[in-house]
Amino acid sequence: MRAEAISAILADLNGSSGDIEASAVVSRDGLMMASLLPNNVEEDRVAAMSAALLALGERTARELERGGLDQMMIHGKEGFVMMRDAGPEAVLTVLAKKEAKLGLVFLDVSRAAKELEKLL
Amino acid sequence: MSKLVEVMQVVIDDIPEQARFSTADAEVIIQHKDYLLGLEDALVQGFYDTLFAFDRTRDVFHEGERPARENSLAKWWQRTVQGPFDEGYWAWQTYVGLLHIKRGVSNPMMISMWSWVLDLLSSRIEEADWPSAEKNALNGAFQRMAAMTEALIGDSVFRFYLQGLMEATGFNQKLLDRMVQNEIDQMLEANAQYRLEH
Repeated sequence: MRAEAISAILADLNGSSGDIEASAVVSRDGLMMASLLPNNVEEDRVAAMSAALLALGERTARELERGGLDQMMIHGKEGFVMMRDAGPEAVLTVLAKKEAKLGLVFLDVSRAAKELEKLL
Repeated sequence: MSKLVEVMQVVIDDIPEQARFSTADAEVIIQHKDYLLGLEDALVQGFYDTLFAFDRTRDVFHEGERPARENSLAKWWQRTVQGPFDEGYWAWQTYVGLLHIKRGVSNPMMISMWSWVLDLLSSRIEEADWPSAEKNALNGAFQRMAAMTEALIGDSVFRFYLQGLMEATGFNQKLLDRMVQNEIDQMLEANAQYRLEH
């Protein structure tokens, strides 16, 4: 039931903007909870990497006195990867196109993360 | 309980009780302490001659450091043959793992030098004028001590290395385990030629 609700939030997120290509929800210890990712992506690895990057981001923000971490973003030549804090248990990972309008994507991702936080 | 004592306990708990250094082992070592104390010079001299005769182990040391290290080994030997083998003793051996990380002492270096120590002890015990059962008991005690100390040092190197990594990155143990598990199948596959075929 909860897995279905998580998947529904991801489906809404992916449908909210043509700039968003894929998304996943991952536990803080790197376990995939739900995903709408391309077939060629290794889910286990993405899950672990997402949790690792968020942990590293949180550690960095704390060390450099930047407060709690909201979001991390990787800007690759072919697009963006965003990792958003979705509460104490989970991380929302989103893949966006290279020409994505980031302001709108941030807004959609933030909204989805809040819904996930309430659910989890 | 300190992290170090926690690591010590986890390692000791993993050693099968029948193979663990025992009270009887402690007694047999302490019973022969006078003879064993007499081996100190040969042990210390031979140990550091061996380390300084090999480039990689010699490189661990700073210029002029040998006398201080010899003194440390002599103190370890004196304490080891006189006991007691209490929590403080085994925690001390676990602490050596931390020092080895700091100094770049690898587990192959540590394990091979333990083998060197056991060889020396075995030959000197053989020379003693004791019944063979007594010699066997003493050799066995040192074998189990070596295994326990090697386990403590080797595993504390591994565990504290990971601990440092976790502190630095914010990764938790479950996440690290999962990351390694994700990669291990591919490593096994890449090295499949070494698999034992039945």
